[in-house]
Amino acid sequence: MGDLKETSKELKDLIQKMDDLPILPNIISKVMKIIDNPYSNADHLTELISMDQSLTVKTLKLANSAYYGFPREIVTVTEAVVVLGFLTVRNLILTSTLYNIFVNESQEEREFDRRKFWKHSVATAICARLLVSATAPGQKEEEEAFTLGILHDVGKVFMDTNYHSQFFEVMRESKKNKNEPAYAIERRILNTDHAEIGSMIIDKWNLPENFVEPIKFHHTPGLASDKYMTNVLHVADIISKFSAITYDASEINARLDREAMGTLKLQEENLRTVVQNLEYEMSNADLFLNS
Amino acid sequence: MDNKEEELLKRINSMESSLKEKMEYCRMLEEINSGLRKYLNEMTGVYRLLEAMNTVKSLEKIYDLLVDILGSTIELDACAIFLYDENGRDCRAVKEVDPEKLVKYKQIFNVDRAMYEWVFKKKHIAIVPKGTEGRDDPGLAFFQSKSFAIVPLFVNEKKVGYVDILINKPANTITQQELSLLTILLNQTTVVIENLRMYEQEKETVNKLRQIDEMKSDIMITTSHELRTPLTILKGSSKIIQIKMKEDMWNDDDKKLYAELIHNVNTQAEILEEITNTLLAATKFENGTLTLNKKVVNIKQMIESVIKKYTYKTKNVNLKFTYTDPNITAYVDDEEMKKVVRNILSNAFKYSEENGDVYIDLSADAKTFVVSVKDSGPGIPAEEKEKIFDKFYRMDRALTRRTGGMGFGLYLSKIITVQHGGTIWVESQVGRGATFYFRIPKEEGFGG
Ligand SMILES: [Fe+2]
Ligand SMILES: [Fe+2]
Repeated sequence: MGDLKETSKELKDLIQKMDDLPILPNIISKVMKIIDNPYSNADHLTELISMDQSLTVKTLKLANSAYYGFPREIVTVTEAVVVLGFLTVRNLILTSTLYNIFVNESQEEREFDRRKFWKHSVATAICARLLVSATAPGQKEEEEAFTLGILHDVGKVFMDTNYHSQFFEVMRESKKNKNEPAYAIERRILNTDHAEIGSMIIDKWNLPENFVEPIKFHHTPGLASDKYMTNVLHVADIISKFSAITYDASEINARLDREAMGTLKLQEENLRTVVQNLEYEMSNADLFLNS
Repeated sequence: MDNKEEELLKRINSMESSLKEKMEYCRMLEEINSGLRKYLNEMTGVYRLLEAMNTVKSLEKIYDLLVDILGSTIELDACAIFLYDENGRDCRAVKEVDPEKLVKYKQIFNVDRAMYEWVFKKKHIAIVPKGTEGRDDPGLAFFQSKSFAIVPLFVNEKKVGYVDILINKPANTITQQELSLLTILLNQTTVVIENLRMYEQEKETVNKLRQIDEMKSDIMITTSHELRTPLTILKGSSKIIQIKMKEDMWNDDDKKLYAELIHNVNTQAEILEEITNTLLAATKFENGTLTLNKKVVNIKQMIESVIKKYTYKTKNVNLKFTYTDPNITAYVDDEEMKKVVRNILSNAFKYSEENGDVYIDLSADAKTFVVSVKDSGPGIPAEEKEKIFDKFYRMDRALTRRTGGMGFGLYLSKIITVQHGGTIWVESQVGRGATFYFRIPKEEGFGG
């Protein structure tokens, strides 16, 4: 988290402001606990979901959605959990809870468009999952990539809430100066960036430790030691920006890290398929977009 | 007194609570311990499988091992491992445990094609929910106590097969650990199975290559042998003609010799041509490019033209042609059919005694015609009957008399017959001659 002696006054303030961060909703820490326990079963998750009326409805909706494509109607939450699997359910709970905090409960119209932000997060999540499935398929890794996509820009929400005027300046600056990436402008004005803040939030929320690095280095994947997931997240972030699902025009200037592309062994045509699939999946992702 | 009692009571209370604490602590330890033991048990299973897979080189044993370890990891009731063939088309069971039960539950759980398609799309294990039908069924409680899992098997992007598993506990009580163990076990096994299959295929390829190599040298030997006789005769004949031309000594005797030499050249050239044609046809047949030029042919006339044109009969035999009907027609390749007749006749001539009889007969039924050629030769031993149509067959030298040009003719006849959808065979007893038969479909609607 950087050297504290060197830390600027602003960052110290920020760290203090961490107390102001929305605490992790109870339901997310509960679902994390269940997922962490290898001996948990569908009954445990069902119990948790059934306590929340809207989650119950969403779980059934997802299990029966065209997006998921299960060939049979699913009527009970238990069945839905069995079919969807533990990690998908975790992501559903995470997505729907964060949507409520980030989008629904956010105050009136602001310069930082929360809906566009959310759309970008969902697109990055879906894209990250597609990238894993194209390079090193595995249900666990695919769902983890999805979670990372949803969370990767969480630092921006914090900046918008707690450092509104500076963040507003960042956005203005970034619209003028399209060649400088937004995170560099953030560093200039706030002495930190949304990636670093994001990783601090993950830490504070006690989310899995392996989420920290990919989020911290999603703009500079070369610096990460956990290269694979960081590269996936980086590429997914850029693709979802390029694919017109962007919420911040200035970030279009960001370029794909060539090394990241190389390490993922992604060919031009793989990338094209991923973009096509992303477009298709986004058109079917209402459940995540308007939860 | 009061104080003491109070203190004692206090101490007893605190002892009791600390005891309770300790008991609670022990209970937790016990729980952790049993959890660890369970985990260790499962991991031992995985380890055992992985270890064994490094040493076991037989697919059958891997399947057995997998089922064995599945049984110790989950509450396995029945299962079946299905694998695709190399082309990814046919899928067949390579190992089954209680398949009847599996089929029964497949129906109960309504596991259909769509379900498998979904599983292959998702590329991960799926537990099939019991479905909406039969919810009010009184037998529901019974089948609810089991669950049906499908595990697709992939190596990289390649679909290798799938495993159906009937688990002896309801779907909602299957733990994450059990699911991930199933996934790990099957992923690892799939890699091993795929490697072993590739290894076996490679072995097969090496064997095939070796066979081709042997066949090649066979071709070399046989061909050079076949070619040597006619070439020697040709060379010798032309040498003599050359010498005679130089010496310019052409008297009546020389004229007789000249005629014989020319006859030799003709005969041997024809034999050479036959060998070349046969090799060519065989190659075309083997790589699937032999095409027939079919038309409606009068079979009796076709046979007669062969008999008439028969040029290289070198000895005197009595040939008798009989037929049940002079108007038998068939939709065949005229030239190719003639080759069959010529080859069989030439074979009969070769093995017949001087002045022996050769009978050729033509008959037909509604759908096919049959030609038979009976000779008065030494006959063919039973164990040779199948082999004489082989590519490089040579009968025992003791039984062959004049062997010039023999070896390919019958193979070519077989190729042509098969290409026409027909069969060729021989009936014989040693010492009593041999009868060759071939039966060809007339092809309904075109003739006969
Ligand atoms: Fe970002
Ligand atoms: Fe982003």
